[in-house]
Amino acid sequence: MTATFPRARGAGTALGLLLVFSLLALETMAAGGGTLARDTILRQRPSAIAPEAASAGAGEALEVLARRGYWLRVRIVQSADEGWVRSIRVRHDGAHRPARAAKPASSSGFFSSLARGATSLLGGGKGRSTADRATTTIGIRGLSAQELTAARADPKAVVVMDRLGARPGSARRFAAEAGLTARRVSYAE
Amino acid sequence: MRPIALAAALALGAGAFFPVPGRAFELKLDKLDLNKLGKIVSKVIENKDAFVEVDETKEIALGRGIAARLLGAVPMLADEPLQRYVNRVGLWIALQSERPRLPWRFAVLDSDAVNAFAAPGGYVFVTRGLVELMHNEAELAGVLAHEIEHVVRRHHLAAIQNTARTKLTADVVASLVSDDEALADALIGAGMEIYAKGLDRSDELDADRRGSVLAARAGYDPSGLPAVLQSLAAHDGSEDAFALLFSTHPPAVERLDALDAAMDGRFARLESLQTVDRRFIDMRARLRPGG
Repeated sequence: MTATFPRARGAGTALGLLLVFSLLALETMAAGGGTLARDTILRQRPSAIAPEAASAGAGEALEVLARRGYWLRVRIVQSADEGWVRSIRVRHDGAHRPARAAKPASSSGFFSSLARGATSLLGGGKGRSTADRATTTIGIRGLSAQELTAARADPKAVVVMDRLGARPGSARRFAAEAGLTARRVSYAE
Repeated sequence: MRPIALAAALALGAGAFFPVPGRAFELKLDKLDLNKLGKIVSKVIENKDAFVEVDETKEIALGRGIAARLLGAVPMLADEPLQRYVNRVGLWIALQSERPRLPWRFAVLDSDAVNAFAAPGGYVFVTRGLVELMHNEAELAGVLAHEIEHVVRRHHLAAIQNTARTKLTADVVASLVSDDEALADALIGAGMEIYAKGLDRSDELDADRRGSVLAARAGYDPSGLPAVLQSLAAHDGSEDAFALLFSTHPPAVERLDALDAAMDGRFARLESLQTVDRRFIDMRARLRPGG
């Protein structure tokens, strides 16, 4: 199976990453439209404890102005109010419309939209190749409903999976290396 | 006579809920107590509405059999550093769950399909296609935490018991009770059917909610899982890579709505939750040599 990734996309992603690192502010352009999923308070800063800037109701149309981590700076179309909301709160335009021609699996998401933003800021970019679709079809062999239920066991592979397993000490050290610490959070609502 | 009774009795309804006669059940090498698996089925039939407690050894044996079939369908990605990375991340998260002492194992499957699976006893799988959609370790953590919670809550085990109840009668079980291999195969087959058909919607929403909590317990920004759901929401089942995922899970937008409602305000007071970008990006780059 060949992995074919159009050069334009690779270049776009590299440019996008350069853009992230070169900007002094962490805010980035991630244009697009959407609606608000629920009644929401728009905040003055991307933080749950920042002061309120405005509020808006479920279903309100908005434009996405910028992104910072998992917060979006939005403008409510009706009121022109602006503020920060959690990205989970936005339903993007174009969500679950039927895909046209070849949209590779990795075409959506933050870095991809960043790459698109980067290429348009620099005056244009290539569209994505439609060649990926044929590759994708071959690439999902084995993970259809029919193939799953007809699958023959590969017990040796499970033994390999065992061997690649981590030990608790190693997992804990690896977490500590990234500054991850265990928190007491309750499952109860 | 026995093989005929076996084949006839177990060829019930649609699906692959029947064993392949004559196939050596190689997991015997691992000293699994296969006849005990058969006794699970008898208990399940007797206790029509209850969830039957399955002891951990049997649960792991069943999960191991399911893992073997899944890996027979699609192999592990042949990249040891990436596999070890996912195991270290996954085990750290599982250690914060309610079942930290299961023999948790994680694997990236070599497929462009976007999907993730969990088998009873602690076997968790994500596809290469899904990892390629992710932007940081918190998103990987969210998906792994979701799958871990399926195991913690025994969702697949309960679904397998339901299948056994509807597809096996007491007479059939009686005729098979000493054919351990066939019964084990039957239960494993039921497990594979669940991958093909999906769990209940309530199980998926439960795993989303509890998965977000678990990711936070491991120190990750709990927005990772909803971010993956946002990525999924931009696609639909007409794309081959997403076809199975969307046919076996509730729509991503519904999951986002449910998760948003469950999470609202819950994590605001936690500080310094991490997304962990650098080492994830380095690892994900291994999926595209020269890309």
